[in-house]
This record gives sequence, C-alpha cells and structure tokens, in this order.
Amino acid sequence: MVKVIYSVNFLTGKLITFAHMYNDPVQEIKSYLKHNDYSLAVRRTLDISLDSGDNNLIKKAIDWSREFRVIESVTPTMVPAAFISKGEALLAEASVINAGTPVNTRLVTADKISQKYSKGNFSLKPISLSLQTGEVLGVVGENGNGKTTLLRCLAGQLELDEGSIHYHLLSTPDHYTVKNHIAFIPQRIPKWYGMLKDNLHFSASLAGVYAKENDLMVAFMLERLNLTQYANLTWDQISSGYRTRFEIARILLQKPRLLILDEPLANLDINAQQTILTDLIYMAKGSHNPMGILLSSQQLHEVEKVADTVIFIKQGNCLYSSNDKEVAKSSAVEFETPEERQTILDLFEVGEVEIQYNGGFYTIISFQLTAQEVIEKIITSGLQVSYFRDITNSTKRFF
Amino acid sequence: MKSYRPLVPGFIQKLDEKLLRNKPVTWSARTHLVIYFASIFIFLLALLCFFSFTEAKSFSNIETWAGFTALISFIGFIIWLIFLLRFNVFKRFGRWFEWDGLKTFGLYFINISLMVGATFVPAAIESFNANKQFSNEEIVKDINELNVNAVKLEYNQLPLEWKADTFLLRDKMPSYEVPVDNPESVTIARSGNSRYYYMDTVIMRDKLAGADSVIRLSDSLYVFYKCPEYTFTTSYNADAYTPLKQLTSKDIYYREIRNFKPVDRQPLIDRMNQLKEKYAVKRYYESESYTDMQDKTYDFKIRSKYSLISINNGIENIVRKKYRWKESTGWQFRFFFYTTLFFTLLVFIFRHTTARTFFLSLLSVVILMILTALFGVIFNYRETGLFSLMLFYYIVLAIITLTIKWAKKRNVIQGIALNIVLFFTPFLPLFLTAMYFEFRRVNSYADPDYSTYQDTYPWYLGAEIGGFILFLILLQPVFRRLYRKWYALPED
Repeated sequence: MVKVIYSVNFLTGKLITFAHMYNDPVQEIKSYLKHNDYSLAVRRTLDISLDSGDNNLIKKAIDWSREFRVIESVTPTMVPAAFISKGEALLAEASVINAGTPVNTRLVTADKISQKYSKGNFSLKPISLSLQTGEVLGVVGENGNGKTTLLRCLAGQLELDEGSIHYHLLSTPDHYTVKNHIAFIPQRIPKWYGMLKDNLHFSASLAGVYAKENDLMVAFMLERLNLTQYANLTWDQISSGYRTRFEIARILLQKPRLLILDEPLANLDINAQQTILTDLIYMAKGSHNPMGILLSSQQLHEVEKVADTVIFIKQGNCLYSSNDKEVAKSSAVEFETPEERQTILDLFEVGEVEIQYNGGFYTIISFQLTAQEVIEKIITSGLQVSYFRDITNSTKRFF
Repeated sequence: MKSYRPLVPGFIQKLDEKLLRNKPVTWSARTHLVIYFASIFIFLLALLCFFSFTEAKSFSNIETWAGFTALISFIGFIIWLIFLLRFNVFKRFGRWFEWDGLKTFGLYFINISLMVGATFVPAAIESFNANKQFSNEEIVKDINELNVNAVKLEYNQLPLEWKADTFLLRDKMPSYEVPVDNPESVTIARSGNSRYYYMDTVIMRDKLAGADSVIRLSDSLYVFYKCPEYTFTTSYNADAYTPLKQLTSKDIYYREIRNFKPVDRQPLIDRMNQLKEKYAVKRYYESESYTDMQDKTYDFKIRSKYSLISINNGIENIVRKKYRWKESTGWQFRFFFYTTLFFTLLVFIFRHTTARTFFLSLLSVVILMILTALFGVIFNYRETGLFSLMLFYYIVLAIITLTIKWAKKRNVIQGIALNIVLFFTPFLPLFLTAMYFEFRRVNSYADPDYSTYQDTYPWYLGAEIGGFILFLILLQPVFRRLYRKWYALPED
C-alpha cells in the first residue's frame, strides 16, 4: 500500500507541497521510476542504501548512480531498460534490509538568548527555540535584521549577553566540543585549498571514518550531491553553486548532529535550491546520521516548504514563529496580473478586500473571505493571471 | 578515483592516500612529502657537491654554498607553508586525537630540521672529500717531510745559534709592567738597562712549558734557550687526531742539523716539487708576517724558494675541511637545533592561532624589545636589570595566559600572551641560568675569591636540554589545552 505522508505544513494548516514521502521508501522510489523521475529515484536509492548500513548495497547504489550520470549525459531522454531493472533489483535487495526507524532526539534548546555587538547599535532581542533530530527550522527576515547573528549564537561563535543554550547530546561541553558537534556553513564559505576530493577525505578522517569506509563515504557523498566529476578540481575551478554543494558534502562527512546554514540558497539556481533543500531534509531524516537543520534564507517559499518551524526576525525581534500556532485573522493572496488595480477591485464587494501593490505583485487582504474564495473569484473572473499564491500563513506577509 | 600529484612516485602517492584516510594529524603535516622532496634535494645537492669539491687543497667557499642552500631551503619552507600545510585538524574542530599537539610539533620539527639540515650538506660533503683524499697521518708526514727537506736543502742558510734570555724570578711583577688589557702577553719585562728580564712564577711556568732548553743558574736566575725556527710549513691541529706529530724546530735541529751530513739534492728537490704539486694552491693569502719580512730573512727566502706559503695555504685548507666537525664546540648543532626550533615554534603558533593574533604577537615582541631598550637607556639598566625586566614580562604574560581558563570570550590579548609564553618557554631555564650567573658575577665584586670564570658550561647545557624537555612536557597538557579553549571561544 502506498501511503502518502505529507510532511509538516505550517503554511496553510493543511497538507504539504513539499516532496511526497512514503512510509515505505522502496515503494516511493518505484513510483519515481514509474513516472520517469530517475534523478530523484537515484538520489533516494542512495539514501536508503546509506540508511541500510550495508556497504555492499551502498557500493551498488553508487555504481547505479554513476551509470545514471553517464546515461544522463549521453541519452538523457532514453533510459535503457537494463538500467531500470538494475534499479529494481537494488530496491528488492534494499527492501529486505531493515534500516530501522530514526528516533527523534532533542538537540538544542535556546532559552531567551540575546546578543549585542560591542561595536554598533544592533542587538538581537531575546529569542527562544528548540530543535530535534529530523527537524528543520527556518529563519527568515530582511537583510541586517539578525538572522546571521542568531545562527552564529547557536553555533557558539558569538557570546550571549543573556539566556542560555542547552545542547542535549553533550553532557558538559566546552566550546571546542560544541563546534565539533555543530556544523556551521556561513554565507561566504571560506576558501578551500588543495583538491576538493582531499578535503572530503580529510573531513571524513576527522570524523573517525577511516580506510575503506572513508573511501566509500566520500564516493557516496560525491554521488549523492552530484559532485563526482568535480572531485579532482580545486576551489577556483568550480562555480559558487558547486562550492556550496561541496561545503555541504564536507560538513555532512563530519557527521554533525546539528547543521546550521546561513543563506545556503544564495548561490544556487532555482532547480538547485529545490534539490539541495530536499536532499538535506532527506538526509536529516535518515537513520544514518539523523540531524537537525537550522537555516536562514531570503527564499521564503522554498524555506517554508521544507521547514517544520519558521521564525521571522525583524530588527532583532522574533515577530513570528509558526510554532505559536496563531491563526491568521485575515486571509492574504499574492498574485501577478497586467490588469489595473481598479479592475481587480471591481471583482469584489466594497470593503470586502484591501489591495496592496509592490510594483510586481498585488496582495489582496480580506477579513471576510477565505484565501480560497479570493482565488476562486480571481480565476473565474477571466482576469489574465500569471501567478498566484496563498500567503495567509506565510511570513511573506511581514515583508 | 586516484589523484595525480606531479613528481610524486607511486609508493609515496599510496602512502599519502593511506595517511589521508587513516591518520589526518600525520597527513596534514605532510612529513612524508617533505621527507621525500628533501631527500631528493639533499641527494642531488650532495652529488653536485661531491663532483664540485674535487680539490681538497683549494680555498673553501662553503659559506656561499651554505647561503645558496639556505635560500633553496627557505623557498622549500615557503612552498611547504603555502601549498602543503593547508589542512589543519585543530582549526577544523576535528576529533580530539591523543597527543596530537605533541605529535604535530614533532612532525613540524622533523620537516623543518630537514630543511635546515640541508644547509650543512655542502660542508659535510667537502669534509668527506677532504678526508677521502688525505689521511690524517699523510698530512702530518708531508708537513714533516717538507720541513726536513727544506732544512737539508738549505742548511747553509740556516741560523744555528740558539737564542738565550736570562730571567730573574721575582715574587711579583711591578704593576706598571703589566698591561691591563692583556696581562698574559707580558712574558718579558725588562726595566732600564738591566741585563735580565723579570718574571713571576706564573710567567715562569708558561716559559718552562714553551722553552726548548733551560739552564737554572740559581734559585731565581734562569736562562731560557729558544731554537731557531725550522718549521717553514706548519698547520695548527693537523696532528690533533693522529699519533704522528708535527716535528718542532727543536726536533728538526736534533734530527737533522746537529749532525748534518751533505745530501743528494736532486731527489729532495724532486720530492719538494711533488709535494708542491700536491698541496700548493694557485690562489692563496700571504699572511701579514710574511709580507712584513722586508729584510728577506732565511725564513722568507726558503718559503719563497719552495712555494711553502702556497703549500701552507693548501694544507690549511685541507686541515680546516677535514677537521671542521671535530674542532666544533657544538655551534653547528646549536645552529641547527635553534634554527629548527625557532621556525617550528613559529609554524606551530601560526597553526593554532588566528592570523591577526599571530602577527600582533610578532608586533608585541618588537614593541617589548623597544620598551626594554628604552628602559635600559633611560634608567641606565645593566644586564641584571634587563634580565629582571624580561622575567617580569614573562611572568605577567604567563598570568594573562592562565586567565584563558576562565575566559568567556576570545580575547586577542590573551591570544598574544599565549603565543609569546609558548615561544619563550623552551628558553626559560637558559634565561634563568644566565640571570643567576649574572647576579653572581655582579655580587662577586666584593668577594675576590669568587671566580667569574668558573666552568658554567654544564649548567648552560643542562638549561638548554631542560628547557626543551620542559616545553615538551607542557605542550600537550597545558599549551594545547589553552589553545583549544582560546580558539574555540566565541567572539564579540
């Protein structure tokens, strides 16, 4: 039975738009294969092979992935039947291995943490949050409002003025242990030196992954993030998007329990943003190294799609947290149309809606109609609409 | 998926990959690559020197070679820093490997010692070649032969009369007869028109040791005889490492001159020419004493006739090359050790601190030196005052360093203090020893029995060894822990 479990969706209070997750990942992958989603099928197969802990299965999954890369580069539209049957055989093998269910463990609790820089006027007002393995917490807000400061506080890089942070998996941690336990990827990734592959092997060694396992894990991570062909290059020879991917690969090899990413999507194209985010979520929720993810981004929709909790920060204050479960008092719909404002207003009764225009999108706010009703009226009116989105429960409303 | 590294053979490549995957601390120091490249460099350098230093008698320009090698070693050091020392377990907040601080220091020390050690290769090869070309006995034998042959050939020119001086022994030399700057030079002091020279017991002891013959006329009157000079060729220390000794003028006198018999000259001249071919150098330096011989003494004439000045230069060159390491008082090893230690400490600090703190530490040391000099000038400090001031700096910096244990925030002052304390700890016992003896020397002015020339060498040697051991003992449990704590502390 294919049971579709939609991931957490705090946006609408309903179900998700994020990738469908199945109770049985083997069935999930089979459905991808069936619908020609080969790239996703290969990536998810790599995930379940890793979760299985069976090195032979991991090797086979890596080989299958490499085969896919070759097919993709030569005949992207023609996938041979042998490739699919090989994948099915792999899935059959994976289905008999019990990967185990990851147990969610509380990772970090921040209690009313605040920070003020010794130079400058900016200060982060008290914020509380908590995160457990498998969870994603998104931090959104405009530039210069404290997202990075919050992340750096949680990563142990900035001293707290008030409040406390408790890392639940560390009994009496010193700062070095905390930094070993947490992986922080800054927006501007520090330059790597030497071959990229060496850096990955080195990171795996640092995490206590030695010898053949080291080779296997590096090969796995290169395949999982589609980096194999760049492995022997240097930092200067790859684009900024691939630098982000390599940094993620390096960090994941160090098996952190808490992954903090500051604007990880900034250097990625729209497809890569989606891929990286879903890949991270899959890996965080896997049983190999379940971890919590804390990320900041300007890409509201992408973050809101994957995050279990979103907090919105403005001028150092936490204005909104999806954990608060507050129901929005008005509905809000964002849409794009070449029509005039008056034409749109004419669709509604007087006082029924309020329309805002930011030069690109119209935002309709209504205390009387639901978002669904607003959208229905716009669509049925015959207006030329090129884009619309229900932002009733989105942090987009705060911008 | 193998990576390609230029100029690295397969076995090093395999070792590199194995270390990368199993021993990150060892791999990140790149000692295996440094050993490999240094070995190739040293081998090629040795080969080049071996075929360049073919003539042991020629003038040694080893300083130029050493300078050239040092330059290449320094380039190697920079390459190691920039291209190989890129991976840092400590700054990646890697796992806490057992004894990794000590291990890292040891590996850096090995790497740098190879680079510093390379500068000694030309000198070592030069000595090797000189020892291979000339045995210890051979040189002494040839020196003696040169002198004996010269005496036999030039017997008619030689002075035969021994110089005699009569000395009167006195309890004490008048102070005005003893130049203050060099009391030992006063072996002869004659006042007015006296027929005697005066000497005290100290001078007498020296004269007895150096005299060729002595006649005791009375308890206080002695005649010292000096044999004329028959050693036209001589080399200091040439016979220090062989049972065969250089003949003195007196030896030559008794062996060849006292009962001189005419000789067949031609074989001797041929032999002198052979020895000239063997030892004479084209480029030589005349010593001042020879150029000053305006009156063309027998000595100068004989030396000139048989090219003995040039031969002497050649022999000196050979002897210097042969016994370079034996005559050493340990300075070569100290130069090697302290240069290695100096650079190792700098690299170790650089790898455990931030770039900003590292350079600020260097600046701080310079400022402290300027301050010390200013204090010295303004308050007219002597050595003891400067030593005390420097000890005060160390104690203050050590206290600041220890406060890292309780720090909540990474502070650049604490980082600088830690860097400076770590750097100077190996030298602390040496410094304290010097300070102790300086205070003893100053305080001994009131005590005429205290000798400032007592043998302090074992104390200094102990302090040198002890300082390094103390540093190694403190490195892991103290310095490494403090660096770990300081570097991981939050900023701002």
